[in-house]
Amino acid sequence: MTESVVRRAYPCMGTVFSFAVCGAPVEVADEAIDDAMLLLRRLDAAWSPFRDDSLVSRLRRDETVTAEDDDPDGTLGLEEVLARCELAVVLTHGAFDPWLLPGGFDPSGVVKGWAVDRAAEVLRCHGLRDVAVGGGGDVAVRGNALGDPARGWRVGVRDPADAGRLVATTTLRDRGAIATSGVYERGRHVLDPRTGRTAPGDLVGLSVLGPSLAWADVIATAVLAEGRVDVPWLAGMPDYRVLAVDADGQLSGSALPQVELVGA
Amino acid sequence: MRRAVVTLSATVAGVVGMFAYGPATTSTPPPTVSADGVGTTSSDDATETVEGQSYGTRWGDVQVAVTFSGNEIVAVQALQLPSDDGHSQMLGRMADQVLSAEVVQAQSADVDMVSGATFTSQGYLQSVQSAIDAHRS
Repeated sequence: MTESVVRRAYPCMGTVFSFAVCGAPVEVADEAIDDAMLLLRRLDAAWSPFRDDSLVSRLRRDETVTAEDDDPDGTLGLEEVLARCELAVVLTHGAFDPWLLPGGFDPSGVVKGWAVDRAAEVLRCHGLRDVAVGGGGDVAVRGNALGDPARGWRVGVRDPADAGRLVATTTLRDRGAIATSGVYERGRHVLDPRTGRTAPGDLVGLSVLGPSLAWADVIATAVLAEGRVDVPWLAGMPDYRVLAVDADGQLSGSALPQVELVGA
Repeated sequence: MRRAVVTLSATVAGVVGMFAYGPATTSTPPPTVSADGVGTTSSDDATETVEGQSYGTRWGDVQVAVTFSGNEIVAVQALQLPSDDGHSQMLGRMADQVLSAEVVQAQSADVDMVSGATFTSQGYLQSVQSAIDAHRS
């Protein structure tokens, strides 16, 4: 690249958030990224199911949680996350249901992608137009790499069985996201809330491409629970496309036309 | 045919969230430890919880318990984790790995970002694998 890219990565929410910022001096980029990390840490404190005093832990204990537990401007997203959870249940026909998880209410499937989107918003509020934010294996982009619409943001999809290898690449432009989920080999941890059982099938990796990472994340979780890519409720969301990897490394799904496969 | 490996998926990265705050609370009865250090317990008719072996990492010991429904993993709990100091160092190291992996991958594959599981904790995976192996046997 002829233009410099500022790259940073920091741990949060038990995973790693990474940033790529184009077209800004290092100090400006760092100030914006630090601001984004500040928000992510606050969201982590609010939404971690492993902290006794988090909003989600209190909800799980059936304690009364009201708008007053959020910031006056709703920074922690109490209302927003709950609304997204309810909508997610409807849109996925119950394949995604954070209330029916074995350990109790857990909105992590919504919060993760949503948090990355929020971090990207923070960068934009600092005047940065061409940024990419990664978190927990998901990626959200705004603008285009190097500010070049012809280039967009080139995103690689890791091989679920070999983290050092890519199975595909794709280009996201202006406002795009890709959420990638996977499973243990021969062990599926994603339960279908409607049956309480794990899904059959041999999907080992699933990516969802679309405009919002929050929704891409929900859809990835839900499709994985269903165990197949041809779920009927996806038809109502044509902006979201899926890319599935099976145990033999075969790719399938509605996103196939918009990705380039990487040679074996 | 693809080699069978246990990979830490991006979704399960949520499970790795346990590293940040300590073991998840559980209502299952405490596991009994057999002579070879791997314990099992039955939490109800449908599931079985198997304790994996403890593995040392440079940041401290890691041990998990895996709950199976038949042969499917339905839950993974951390029983033993590095100390606060140890685990924050571990997470910092993971961040470095993510950064360098992304830069290397970007340079070699002409991509700007990468989606998919970006790091593994070997001790965690080994403990999970030991539980899987004990469950199968």
